This record gives sequence, structure tokens and C-alpha cells, in this order.
Amino acid sequence: MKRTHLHHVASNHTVDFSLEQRDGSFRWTRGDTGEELQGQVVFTAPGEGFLDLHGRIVPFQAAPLEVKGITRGIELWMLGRVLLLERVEEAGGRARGPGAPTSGEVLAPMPGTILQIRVQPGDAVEVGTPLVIMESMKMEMTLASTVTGRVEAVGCKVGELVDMGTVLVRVHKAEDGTEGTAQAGTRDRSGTEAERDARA
Amino acid sequence: MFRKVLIANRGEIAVRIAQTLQQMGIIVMAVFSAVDRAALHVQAADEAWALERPVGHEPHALAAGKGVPTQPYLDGERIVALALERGADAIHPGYGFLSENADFARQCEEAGVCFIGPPSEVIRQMGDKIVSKRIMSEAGVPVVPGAQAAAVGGSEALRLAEEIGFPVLVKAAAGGGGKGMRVVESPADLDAALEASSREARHAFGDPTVFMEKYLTRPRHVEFQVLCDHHGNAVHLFERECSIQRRHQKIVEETPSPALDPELRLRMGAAALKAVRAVGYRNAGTVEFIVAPDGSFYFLEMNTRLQVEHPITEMTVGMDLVRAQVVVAAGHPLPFTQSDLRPRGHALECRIYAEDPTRGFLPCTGTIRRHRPPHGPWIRVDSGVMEGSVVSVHHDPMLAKLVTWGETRDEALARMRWALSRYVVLGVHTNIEFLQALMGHPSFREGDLHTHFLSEHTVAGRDEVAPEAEAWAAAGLAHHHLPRPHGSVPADGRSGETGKAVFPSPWDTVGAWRMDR
Repeated sequence: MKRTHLHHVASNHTVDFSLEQRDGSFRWTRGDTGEELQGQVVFTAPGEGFLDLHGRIVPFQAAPLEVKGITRGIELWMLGRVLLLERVEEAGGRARGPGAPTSGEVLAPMPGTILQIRVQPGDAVEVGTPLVIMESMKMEMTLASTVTGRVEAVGCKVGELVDMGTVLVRVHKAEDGTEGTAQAGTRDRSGTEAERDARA
Repeated sequence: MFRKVLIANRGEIAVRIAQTLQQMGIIVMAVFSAVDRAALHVQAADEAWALERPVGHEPHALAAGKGVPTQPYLDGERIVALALERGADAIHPGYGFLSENADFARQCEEAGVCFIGPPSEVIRQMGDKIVSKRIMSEAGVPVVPGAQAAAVGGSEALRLAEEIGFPVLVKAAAGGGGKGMRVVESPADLDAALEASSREARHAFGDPTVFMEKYLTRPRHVEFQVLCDHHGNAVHLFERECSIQRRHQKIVEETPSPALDPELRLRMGAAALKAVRAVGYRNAGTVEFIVAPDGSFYFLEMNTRLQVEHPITEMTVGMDLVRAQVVVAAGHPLPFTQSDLRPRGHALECRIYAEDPTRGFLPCTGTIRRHRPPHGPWIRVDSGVMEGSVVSVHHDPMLAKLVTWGETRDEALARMRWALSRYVVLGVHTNIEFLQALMGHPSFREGDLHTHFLSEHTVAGRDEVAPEAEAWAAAGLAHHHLPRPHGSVPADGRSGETGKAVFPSPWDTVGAWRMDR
């Protein structure tokens, strides 16, 4: 039985649940409260259908949540409301904080133009290291690393017009679990850092 | 009657016009830009032709690429050429784009292709806010005090402004949409405001001319639909109120206006007819008024085209306005008089936009993964998108208009709230939930509307409400059954059943989940 952790950013709730399904019947059990929901599910087409909860009908619509061609989770419509679900990696058993993208990715928060790229693949970075500067709606934004680790890939070019959600830089999180904290004394004194400082 | 009509537009209005034309037995010709190759308005037409000019067809005496507008739907020369090449005997310009471009209307007239709208000279006169107000004022139509002369700054401007009475509104003569518009509360701020507005106007419209008007607090925008044939007959089709706006973009419209009693409606209707006679108007148009809290009203401007919100008039008057436009353009007299027109009930329109309410309603781009508009009695959806449609930066982010009718305003409103709760759009953020909250707001239900409604009232969404158990369960269950989007690769790089998985492998790829909204 797979347990899944969910964090609802807007209401700041963390929920984990398990789901059993056999034929058209299902049982959903919430981890922290033990709240259960049982009923039937009928799919009328891929990603759409309705729940039949002891006669109460609840239709839903679901589609993959895509950001720049990569499926990040699902988008669910139910009862007049659209909910976005993102898959995030477990981070030492805790759910990630609000707005944190997966594995140190930095996404464009809105459509805009890339002004400067401060890093290249291989560079060591810390939480807060500026990675990309972009301009959108006449505002300049500096996008910084959310993890400590090494730059894995740069997904944009200077002068490029990017969509909201474009992965601009992917940082591979360091394995020793120091994510979220800047460590004194762990500065990378390799040549790559010196090169980066010279370019900045 | 016309045999073939070219629709010089795109999106929902092009689809809507095509529907009526086809129902009248007229062949519909669409035009499309490269990004609109698969658009709904192309599919809706009988024939369609690309707007981008073939190589070698650039206009004479111009370098390659010069003189051809970057927005293909503004290439009037190309559009008229296509109409002539393909035997279209009329062009319907829709709204926006070339619909109020006097030069384009004249090109059509000169080429012998009927422009479904007013004469080009009328478009030109009504396109200049200063000229149009002068014409109206001379015809005895009340105009907003002070809009007569272009303001040039200095002591003359100050004298004019004091005559009007502060606060004054500085506006651009050549355009709208809020550009070049500023409220000036005190004389000390006047010169700086005039200068700044003039600069903005030059940048936005190519014309730095600005003028001043009395600024009315809590104004209501009430517009009258008019229709004139080529035989001197003119009628108005009553009013619409468009008082919920953001950044001068309309969001909600309704008819009848809660601000008008029968007596005011009669007087404003008469003023609208006086306006159309003053300019020799033909075909459909809209006369815009501003209504002060004390019930006094003033001419603001005239729109010489069919408007976005025309469906609410159609629902209450019981008439197809596009059909009326075509019939009038083909030379037939109006088959009814003013006294034949009796509006019934109440209609509301909500504009569905691809925008993110959590990010200041920033327009969104993306691909529409699911589009399921509501259906039912007296529910109308005019949409230009379908599943698979791409919402891009090139065009207006309006996805659709949702219109409801009821015997009473309460009934139309209840129907609208039901319809909004059933409207599914996945793939882009929309303002649907915002509209639900707005329709439920006590002040909106009271009909207490004015143009600053949104800055004065907080319209609260349900973002902070945790999803219910049913949503968690459905999300978990649906994950098994998601349709695979074209070309996508799961973040972990695995593709489930090789090549063709329509139902991707579920639980071995799922990790921790986060509900983002």
C-alpha cells in the first residue's frame, strides 16, 4: 500500500492518504485523522468521470499538469473548482514548503525575457545564489537557487523570451541533506567558483 | 443578398458570425495567420485562406517585409485582395482589428466589396473623441462638460480646467483602453499630468493630442445599441451596463441596467437616436453614455462596430444582430419600428479569460487540455477555443463569453452562478472561480455597480479552503487514468508501456504529492 504525502499550499495543510481500488470500488483513508471515504468510481473517458458515494454523484475532470512539456502532476476540476497537484520528491520525510519546485529547479515565475545567466553546468551553488536575472512587465527579477548543490543544466539563453513555468536552471541537490541551510565552511574552493566570480 | 462573405477576424466573434452567415445560406470565407492554422474559426468556415503574403507579393515600392503589418489580421490590403481574388462580395470586420479603421472601410468601398458596417467617413469622425463630441454637442446631445478643446497646457489649460471644475480627467483624443488617462485633483498637478498623458498617447496611438473632461465620481457606463438601415430608419435596441471592469477591460455586462428607470431609459434612447441621425449612421453601432449618481447622463463616445457584449441584447430583444447587420448592408429596410421592440427579462454576460487571479490576473498562455462549457436552457456560450487550442501571447486572452437569461435579474444571476460552477477549463488558469465569487458578492447581487467596483470591494476566492476528501480521492484515482498528452515525458524519464501508453503506469511513479491550490 503506497502512502502519498500531499501539501495544499494555499490552505497550508499537509495530508497523506492511502487509496485502495478494486474493480469500480475504492477506499480512501487519510493518514493523520483516519478519515475514510468509500464508494465507486466510474470513468467515462480518460481522466474524466464521477464518484458515486452511496448515491451521491460527484463528477470530476482531470488532465496532466504540464510545465514546458514535462508532466509535473495533475490538474483536477471538481465542484466548480480547479486544483493543481504537483508531484514533489520526499525531502527527508518532510513535505516541501510552499512554492518549492522539484529537485532544485528554478522556474520562470511569469513570461519574460532572460537578461543574464550567472551560472553554467558544473558550478557549485548554495541556497540563495543568484542564477538568472530576467525581466517581465518592466520588472527585473533575480532568481536564486533554492538548494545547495551543483548546476546540472541551464535551460535558457540570454535574450530568450520564456513562458511562465519554463525550467531555467536545474540544480542537483547535494546528497548530504543540507538543503535549506547555507553551510559555513563548505564553500567550494574549486576553479569553477573562481571562474564564476570572475564572470559575475 | 450576398453570396460569399469574408470574415476579417478570428476567435469567438469569427465563429459566431460564421454561424449566422451559414444559417442564412451565405458562403463563409475565413482568413488565418500561421499560428491560427488549426483555429476554431478556420474549422467553422466553408473556405479559408492564409493571411501571410506569399513571397513576391510584397507591396510595390516597399522593401521586403516593410509595410506589411506584424499583426496579420491588420493587413487590410491583403484582406481586400483576398476578397477580390476569391469572389467575396462583402466583408464582415467583427470587433477590434480593422472594424473601426476608416482607411480599411474606404479600401473596401473603393474595391467594390461591401463593408458590413457604417460608411468610412462616419468611422473616421466617430474615431476622433474630440470631433465626435463636438458633433453631438451641436446636435443637442448632452456631452461631458469640458471635452470640447484639445488641452495645450499652461494658463489656458488651467482656465479651461477651472471652468470644467476639478477634479478633471485628462484623456487621449485618439484612443482608449486607459492609455493617456489621468485624474487631476488639484490645479498644481495639471501641467505634469497633461505632459505625461500626452507622451503616453503619442506612444500608444501615434497622436499626442489630449483633452480634459469633468471627472465624475462613481460613474456608471451605460451604452445603447443602435441599428440603422440605408433608408433613413433608425432604432435603438435598449441599453447595456458594463460596470465591472479591471484596468479598463470589461469583465461583466448586463441588460437592463439597474441604474435606469423607464423615464431615464426613454430619454437616453431618444438621445442615442439623435446621435445616430447627427452623423448619418448606418448599420449597427453603440452609443456610450456615462451616468452620474444624480441620474444626469452624458455622451462619451460612439463605437462604430458590433460589440463583444452584443449577445445580452440579442437575448432580451430576441434578435440576431449579425443577421440584422447583413440584411441592412444588403440594402433592405428595417422590417420593424421602435414601438415593435419590447425587451423581455434580464441577461448577464461574463467574459472568461485565460488569466491567473493569484498573480494579479496576469494573462496566461498554454494549451487547453479540457474545455467543457455548460449547457442548458437560456445558457449561451460563444467561444473561440476548443480542446487542443493554444492560448498564445499573440492574441487576446478571452476564451469565451458566457451569457445567461432569466425572467428577472435574480433568475439570470442564479443561472450564471450555476453555469460558472459547471464550466470546466483545464490547461490554463482562468478567471472562472473569480467570477463565481463576484457573482456571489452581496453588492453585485444588489445591483450596486460602478466602474470602481473591483477596487472598492474584495472579491474573495476559495483558495484558502482545503480540498475536501472527495477531491483527494478523485485525484488519486484519476492519476491511473490520465490521458497521455502528446510528446510529454514523465519527469522521471520513464514512459510506462513503451510507445503507446494511454493509461500511464500509476503507483510506481508517484512520490509525495502537493495540492498547489
